[in-house]
Amino acid sequence: MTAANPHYWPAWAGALSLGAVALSFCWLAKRPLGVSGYIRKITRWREERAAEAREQSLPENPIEVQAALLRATLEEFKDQLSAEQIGDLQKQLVELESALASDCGAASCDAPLKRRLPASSALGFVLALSVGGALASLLRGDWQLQLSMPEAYIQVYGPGWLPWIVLPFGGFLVGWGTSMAGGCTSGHGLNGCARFQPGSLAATATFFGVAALVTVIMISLHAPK
Amino acid sequence: MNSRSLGIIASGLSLGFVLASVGFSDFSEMQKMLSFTDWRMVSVFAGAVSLLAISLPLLPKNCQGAPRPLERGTVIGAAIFGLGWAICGACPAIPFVQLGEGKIFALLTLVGVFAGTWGYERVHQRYLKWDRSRCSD
Repeated sequence: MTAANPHYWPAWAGALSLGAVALSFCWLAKRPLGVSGYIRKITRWREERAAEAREQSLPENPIEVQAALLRATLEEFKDQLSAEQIGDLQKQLVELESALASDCGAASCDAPLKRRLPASSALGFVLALSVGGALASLLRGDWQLQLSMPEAYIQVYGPGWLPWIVLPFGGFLVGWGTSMAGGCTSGHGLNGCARFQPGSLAATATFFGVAALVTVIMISLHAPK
Repeated sequence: MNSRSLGIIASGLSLGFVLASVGFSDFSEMQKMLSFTDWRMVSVFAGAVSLLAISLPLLPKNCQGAPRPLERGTVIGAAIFGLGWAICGACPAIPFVQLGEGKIFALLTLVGVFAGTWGYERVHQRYLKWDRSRCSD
């Protein structure tokens, strides 16, 4: 006896939507999607807020930052540099300052320095995940407050206390593993693989492979004898 | 709250909606995917990656992410993640989606995910300290 499954989207609809969501995130946030990173940020809330505050003191214009760095370099090393080197650096500084004065001209002024994703946005994102999930199940008509362990877990772990400790334990492994690997199914799986990044391809193959192997073992352990 | 943070929240909403609608928040669907008894969700994933592979290069350069080299923790971490994923059916985003759907038991998974993340970060800062290509490390 199995509960009736709600009607989930067909593959083409799911693929297009998932791809579109990831793409629109990249375009809006100017960085790839990566959920395990947001959880990490939330666990480092205070450090992140401090880093954001320090970041506010940096100018947004990358040319201004370059100029400031050059000035500091000249000041710090003026006794150790040859006259030729100093002249060279000063020439670069004059070029940067005139670029700033003439309203940039260069395209780099249109690309402000990328700020870190604020911890508050990370928190907003994950809370929005819940709202999105709620909307989907409400529209489907199967929203239900489920305090008890669902059938699917009981089938695998039995009706006792086991599923109640497997869930947090599994979650712990997910949190630990994604932190260690530096990404999850969105960061490494979707974006990293789409960009053919070696670390992401290795990570995705590994977590998919291990998850598949463990699932097959779990299922065979519960197959009717 | 500027327009960028609003956009990010809208993205989160859409992602939660899509994940719930495809079936990623359903343990039995996840088992079907991972055991390859049902290719629907595998195709969703593969299709999404393909779509991104084609369209990401068309986006402005600053939307691309950082390089992801193979680092010391990559494969072991991924293996640990895979094990956790199989036994609880969730990748990091899923418990949030499940809670939205009324699946209160997902709170257990969520606490685990936060504990595991927090725990690893502490261990990494104190003992491991290898390069993860992150500025904040």
